[in-house]
Amino acid sequence: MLKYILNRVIVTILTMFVLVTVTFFLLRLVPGDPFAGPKVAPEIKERLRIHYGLDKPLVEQYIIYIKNILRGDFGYSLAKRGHRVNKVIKDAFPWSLDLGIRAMIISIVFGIFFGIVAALNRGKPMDYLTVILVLIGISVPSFVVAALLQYFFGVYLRILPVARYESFYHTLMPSFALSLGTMAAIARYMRASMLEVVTADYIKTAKAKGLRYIQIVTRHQIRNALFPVLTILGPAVAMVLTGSFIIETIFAIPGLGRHYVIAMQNLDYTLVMGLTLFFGFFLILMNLLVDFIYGLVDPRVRHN
Amino acid sequence: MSELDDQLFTPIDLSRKKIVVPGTTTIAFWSDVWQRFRRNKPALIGMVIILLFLFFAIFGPSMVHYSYDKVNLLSTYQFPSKEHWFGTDVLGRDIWCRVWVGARVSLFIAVVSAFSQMFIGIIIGSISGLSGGKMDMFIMRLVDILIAIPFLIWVSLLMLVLGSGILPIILAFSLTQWKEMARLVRGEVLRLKETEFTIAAKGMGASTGWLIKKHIFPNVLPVTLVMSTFQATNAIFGEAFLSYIGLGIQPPMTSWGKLVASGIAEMHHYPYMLFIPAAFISLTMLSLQLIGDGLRNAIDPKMRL
Repeated sequence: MLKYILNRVIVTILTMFVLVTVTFFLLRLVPGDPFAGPKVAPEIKERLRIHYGLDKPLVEQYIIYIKNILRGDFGYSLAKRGHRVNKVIKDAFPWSLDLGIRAMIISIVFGIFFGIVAALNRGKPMDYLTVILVLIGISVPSFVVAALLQYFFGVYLRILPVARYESFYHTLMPSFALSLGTMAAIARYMRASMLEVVTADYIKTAKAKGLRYIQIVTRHQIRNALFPVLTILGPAVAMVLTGSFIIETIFAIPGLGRHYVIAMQNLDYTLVMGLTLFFGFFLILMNLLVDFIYGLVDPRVRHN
Repeated sequence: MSELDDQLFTPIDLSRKKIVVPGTTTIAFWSDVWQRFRRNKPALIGMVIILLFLFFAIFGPSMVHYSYDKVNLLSTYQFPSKEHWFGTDVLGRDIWCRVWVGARVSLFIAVVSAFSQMFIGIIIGSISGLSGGKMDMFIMRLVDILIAIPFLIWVSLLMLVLGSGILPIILAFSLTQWKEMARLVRGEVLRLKETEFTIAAKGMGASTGWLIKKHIFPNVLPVTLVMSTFQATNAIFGEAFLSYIGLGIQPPMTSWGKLVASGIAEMHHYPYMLFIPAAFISLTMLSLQLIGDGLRNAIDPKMRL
């Protein structure tokens, strides 16, 4: 187990380092000047460059950047003068976290539920209905779902607030729109996993022992089918995270995703870099967590 | 009979006789796949929809006497009618025309980036699987690292560097999407290396080139085709995402993503501007998904999800 953990941690640190390096050099290649503007005098531009340390050689900038990252400092935003990237993240993260957790709960609970229902009713109308819903969930893009929901419930029926994130009712549409794709993916996976274990020997044994159907399903089938579904939690978090870029923009939620989109439009590359790294670190750590959990529940993984 | 008479032997006419080489019955395989695919109704419907969209993408704009970028300020925001089948937008441009010109852009990006990332993925995956050792280790670690970050983040970063337009989008997708394909191909290559027919061919003295051409590539192709169908849906979605946040296609050129973005801005009063392109994007992604599922089931029933 220790060797497994150590191996995962080393890969994680390496991944973070590569991410920092690639992001840093990639964004130095971006054409365009963050200080551009018709009214900015050349002397002031030069001063700004010196102030932000952009006059130093690239390698020196890189070393400074790495040092700052190690201290947890992402620097200043270029477009929002005087704003620290850390401050932006600190202000915006709670919104995204709230939305993300809601979306994850919806997609895990309903995804697993639909997967189980479909598998237990294999070949019956309920199964087909779930399969169709899953297909729609996977193939209709989140921004289309979001915009349609906004139109029908917010504009046409006027029963839910169109945008912003203030009360429980405000959270309904964004969290549902964000969860749909992930929910569909989890349902599909859960269904397949349920159908795979149904032929396993321990199910036959349980039947031979004379256990009741409900006991076989809950104690043996569902429990064993859940393990493989754990592996998709990492990608699911990634899906919810990238989904938030669009959902937060459409519903005007001041979270990280919205800041990321705005920063890209403004060529605010320190903010883009800071947010990319923050997203990256977050996802990498989540993946590490999922790996640990998986290693804990499935001994085959850690011995491999 | 102490001596063999030369007249007992006749040289084989190589040009007339079909030489049967084991492991090359690919034609039968593909017709088999088609037979199974054809019986899958949803997949067939998906294929018909895509073919229809391709047809209209080519001929749709010339069916009406408008052009996609012709501004007509006297007929802005027209609801769908006999004059304008899908209505007009803020500048009075015909949406029927814009939808099909947009279809050209979106479908072109999907097809080209699906094939190019398939190409890159097959090459890198085969190198990794065939060479093994340190090289394999290095490539797979790189893939692990790249996969840890969602493709939309990589694509957005690349788009900032490459600038906007169709070619940068295709380039960004190809550069970021090959990793899943490479991983898949590597796995297949490792599996195929151990199969009896490869070992038999090796035993008969086949060269590496022959092995790749006759045994590895034809067996890797089907699964990569399935995957690239799914990658095409990613490309359609990715293009729409980029256009929505303003990094993708630039006006007056349009794409489905761009049309949805302007539809979202106008939906409070002119909902048709959102519904029409949204329906096309969703139908396309659904059809590609159905085709992918159908292909996967037809090619390898074991892979069924």
